[in-house]
Amino acid sequence: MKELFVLSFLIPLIAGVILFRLDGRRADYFMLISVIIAAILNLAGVVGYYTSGMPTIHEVLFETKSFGEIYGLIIDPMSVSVGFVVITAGLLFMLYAKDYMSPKNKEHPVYEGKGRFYGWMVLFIGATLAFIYSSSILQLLIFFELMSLACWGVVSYYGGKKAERSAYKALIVTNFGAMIGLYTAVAIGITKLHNLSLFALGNLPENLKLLVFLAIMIAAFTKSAQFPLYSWLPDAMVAPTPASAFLHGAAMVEMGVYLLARAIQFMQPLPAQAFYVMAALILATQVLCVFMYPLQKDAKRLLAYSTIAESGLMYVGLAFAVLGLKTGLQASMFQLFNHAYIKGLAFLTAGTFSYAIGTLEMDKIKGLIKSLPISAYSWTFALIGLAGVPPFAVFFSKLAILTNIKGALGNPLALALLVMVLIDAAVFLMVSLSRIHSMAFSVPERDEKYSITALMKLSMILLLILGIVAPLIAYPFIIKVGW
Amino acid sequence: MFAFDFTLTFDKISLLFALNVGILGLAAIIASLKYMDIYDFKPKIPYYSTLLIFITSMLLIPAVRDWFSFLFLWEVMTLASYFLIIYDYPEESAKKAGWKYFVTMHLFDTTPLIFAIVLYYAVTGTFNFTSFGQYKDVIVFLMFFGFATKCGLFPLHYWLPDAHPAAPSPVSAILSGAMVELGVYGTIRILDLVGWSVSSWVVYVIGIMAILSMIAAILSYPLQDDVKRLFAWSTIDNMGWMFILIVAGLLGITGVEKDIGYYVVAHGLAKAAAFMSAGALLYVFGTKSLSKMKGFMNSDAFTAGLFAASIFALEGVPPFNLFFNKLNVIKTLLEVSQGLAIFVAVEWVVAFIIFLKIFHAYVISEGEPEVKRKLPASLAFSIVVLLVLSLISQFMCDFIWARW
Repeated sequence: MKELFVLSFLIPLIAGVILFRLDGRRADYFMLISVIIAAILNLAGVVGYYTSGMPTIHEVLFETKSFGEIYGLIIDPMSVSVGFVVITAGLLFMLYAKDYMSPKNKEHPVYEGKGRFYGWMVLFIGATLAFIYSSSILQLLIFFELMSLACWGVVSYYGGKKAERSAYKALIVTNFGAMIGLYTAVAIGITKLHNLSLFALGNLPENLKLLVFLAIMIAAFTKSAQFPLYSWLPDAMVAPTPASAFLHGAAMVEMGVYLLARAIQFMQPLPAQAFYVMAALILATQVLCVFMYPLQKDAKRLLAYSTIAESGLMYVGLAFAVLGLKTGLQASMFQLFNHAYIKGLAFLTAGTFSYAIGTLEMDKIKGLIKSLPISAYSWTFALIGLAGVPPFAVFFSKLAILTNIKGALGNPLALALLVMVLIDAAVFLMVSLSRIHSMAFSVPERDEKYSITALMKLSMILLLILGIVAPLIAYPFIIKVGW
Repeated sequence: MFAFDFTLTFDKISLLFALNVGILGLAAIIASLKYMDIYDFKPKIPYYSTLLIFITSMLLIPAVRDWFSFLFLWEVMTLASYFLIIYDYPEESAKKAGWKYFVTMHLFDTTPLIFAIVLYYAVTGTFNFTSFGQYKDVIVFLMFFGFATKCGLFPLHYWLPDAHPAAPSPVSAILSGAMVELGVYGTIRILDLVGWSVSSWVVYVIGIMAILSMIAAILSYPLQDDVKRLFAWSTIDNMGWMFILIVAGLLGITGVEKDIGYYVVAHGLAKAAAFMSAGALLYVFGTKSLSKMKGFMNSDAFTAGLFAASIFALEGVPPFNLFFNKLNVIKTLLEVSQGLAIFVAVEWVVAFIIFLKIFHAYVISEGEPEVKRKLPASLAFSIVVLLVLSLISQFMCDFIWARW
């Protein structure tokens, strides 16, 4: 079983490097085959793990005297469920990308150099999975940086001044977070604990614990684009849409949450001051998003702010975990799982706008329900789902996060977090409903029909289905998450 | 994380609410068969499947016994009703009403409900219906607030006169006759869990909102020209009546659930008949504006007769059974407060006079509007069935109440 998980990230890491040298149909097939194999191996691992009763497996792969554990694996309900999201969502995005990255794309026709995109993307998937199963801080750091690099690669893919600037911004900002956060944690791990294992973090003395936690929090917050270092994420929208979907739905942003969740899991109990710092920043993020939603004209930028808010939601769960509620950690991972597919659907729908219509400006799109019904409905469902309306998955995780209200009784800041979650959802719904009305349910100006390929439709439909059944898949794993 | 048992149980009170939904749902589906012809464009919103989801969620809401499933079904109901309200989306006003409806629901209905329910979860440790004491007033108030938004109690009524008329008429019938009543059902449930005892400020808030709803409706009736808006205001009015009964229950009268259940069935039937006959007018004359079809008795006596009968059923004129229920409200109120009883009685009379005036001014007045289409049999059948049932609703409810 362990080998299955190791292979599921080693294959993409190796295939990614090879893909840089391929192009055209050969790149298509090589990419799809490698990702599908990795996905099948991972799924087999998940099934095996589920049937074996979900124990926590820790395996040290490489160890030295002075540094302690350097490479290792943790297979526990948390890493398995998050890994499942990354590989399944990644697979569906790559299926979509095969047709999206083509000369038929109206906004960004791609004639050659697909291999470079696939290479970065597959590398991205591999690095994310390797990050998830890591058991030492150094390994986390290495794959954290590899993810940033892959992010730089996909954001700068189309070239041009804007893309390059955004790509460097994404690289530098997240790197800055890593420098402050993870490097500190590694340094402390080496000098104080003489062990880089995550399991050793709990042995830190109280004052260092707070320092390490805040350092890791900064790394996580920059990765998840939380206030104040959030602006790289909306700018990173110049990336090809399948890459944005991956960045927002399953990888990059969520991995910040995952990093902090791991830290919280292994550093229990945490000092209460940590909560206040964290809560204040999350609150600022949520308020910011409430003001930014109505101003967005570009479909992908609207989604970017939604991602910032939704990952803020995951941090709300984590903030309650800092207060010592195990359900906070569970709810946070639940939100991570549930949010991935519906956000992916939203991005892929935005991708159909640029593929079929050639614009992402929401004001210019009208009457989708007649010209491109599948996009009209997926856009409607994705936005409504993101606002937290059932039967879509985000509703359940929002409810799960709110059930932590126990920890907020008598704690005004924590209560404010929960109220803000609901206000944020309501404002997002307001904005998205008026967008849905003007884009989907309206009379088109010209009588035109657009079309997208069957493969794109398939991946969107699968994402919609997963976006509804995700809580059912996640629940058995999530309730086992804890410390 | 989510501790609850999913069960479906019907007790007397939930059976009455479900019965109301079931009858109205069937009638609406039958009425839609021909009625939907008036939408000559293809809106690409699947009408019947959305309607079925809508009706099913409403049938299940009274049957569940935990707040988690309740909330889930509640939200599904809201989502489905939203798609039905914007069915006529090329009409800009329908889209505006849909936006107003969904946003209001999310802000003032879902949000307080979720908050109340998670607080309930924190207090009791389960989503199942169980009696509790901690944070009683806060939870009851938040729930009432959420339900009041759905019911359209003043001042949270502002979405209702826009949203109900915007939907296709059979849907308006369900919206007004069944969906908003579920808010009353929810209020009864949460009050059952706290043994009908809350702080007096909650009682005052409910009472004042109920009374203001009635006054607002009375003041608005004469201003309406759109016949469906007129009936939408009547819904706000009747919600006031139902919540006054709840106030009576909170003031110590036992067994108001029964009165409310009976009232809901009688009102639901009459209201659905009224909306469908408004739909019939729209179908036959092609307009919702009363002033444009002045004297329509002269051009289509059958439709006008159905319309008149629906109005009388709605205003509680005997032999229609809403009469008994309205009388019962006054009788119950006499036991707690004479002032309230007199107010309600006066309101009833005033509303009746206004509707009588409307009847005289538009139905049997001078004029002969042009008939555009013939009334389809399926629509007429639905209205007739609803009217006949509202002649015997009292006995129907008694039959169920005594035997279940």
